[in-house]
Amino acid sequence: MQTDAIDHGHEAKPTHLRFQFSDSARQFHAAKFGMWLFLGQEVMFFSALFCAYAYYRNQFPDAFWHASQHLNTKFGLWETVDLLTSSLTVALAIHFIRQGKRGLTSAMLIITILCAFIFLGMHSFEYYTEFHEGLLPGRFFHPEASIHLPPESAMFFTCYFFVTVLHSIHVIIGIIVLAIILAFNLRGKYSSAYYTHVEVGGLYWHLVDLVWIFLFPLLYLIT
Amino acid sequence: MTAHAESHSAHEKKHHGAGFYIGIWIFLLFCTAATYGAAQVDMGAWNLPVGLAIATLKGAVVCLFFMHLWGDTRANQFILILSLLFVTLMISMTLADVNTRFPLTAPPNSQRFKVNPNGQLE
Repeated sequence: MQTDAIDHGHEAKPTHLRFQFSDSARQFHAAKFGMWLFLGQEVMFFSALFCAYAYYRNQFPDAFWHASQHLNTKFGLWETVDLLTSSLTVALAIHFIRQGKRGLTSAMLIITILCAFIFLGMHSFEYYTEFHEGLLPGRFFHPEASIHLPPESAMFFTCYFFVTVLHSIHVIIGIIVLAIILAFNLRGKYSSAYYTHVEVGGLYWHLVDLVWIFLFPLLYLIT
Repeated sequence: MTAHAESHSAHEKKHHGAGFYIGIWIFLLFCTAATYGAAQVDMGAWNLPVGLAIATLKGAVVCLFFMHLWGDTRANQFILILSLLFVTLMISMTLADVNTRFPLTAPPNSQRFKVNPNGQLE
């Protein structure tokens, strides 16, 4: 390995290979390892909000149940299906770029971005409804007269808004990341020998899905 | 290392077909339906553990197959396991703490501690 790295003139290095790496495999694994470190951090980052949720649900189980009845479960269900589908298409994008099928990869990335926009659209509608019903976090919690909720339900909406808004911010960042990858792919930057961005961007997108998998039963399906 | 060997070692050893991923997706949709269905059945205190168990199964499937953690390097697997360990530690220790404190530290109207009409803890 050592001699390989020094022996520059011996054989042409691929253009995507940065000088600090001796070969593509190492560069790929370093990038992936870095992304996993980031994702590990993200899991712990979200867990602070999950912890707050656990604490308040533990203190006010009835208020959480009453509040959860005012969320639109059908919307939650379709958002889950939508995000799972986007996870599939991003996994397929990686699958196709490994085979060097650039066109199919672009198609899969476009579908993923569309799914992300559908998710944001559906969620915006939910926020719109909740805003009109006065189901807002903390001291902004002033439900309409027709809605009878115990005052502690405010804590449910605090948890709900903080965690779903943070999740939606991740969706928006995911859209930007995937759009950049799509633009690079359309310019022919990736091939079966080099697809690090697609793989690493895909990992990020799966995390967004992963967080939602836990949010769906915790927020929408309280019985 | 030759260019040929290089391009090969850049990938993982085994590649699944597109059908494999679609199969995983169908399984995940099935689990979603199961979560939704389970929430319609009244299982008392079991609803939350069942919902979380299905979510964990879905999460594990996403990590292992969509995120290629199955057969990935030990380092990547270790990071996820370690972060989940810390999450479990944080949530379990927090709940263990707040539920064993002096009752008046609980927020007003907390259901954790029942107070009788005389103002005494039951």
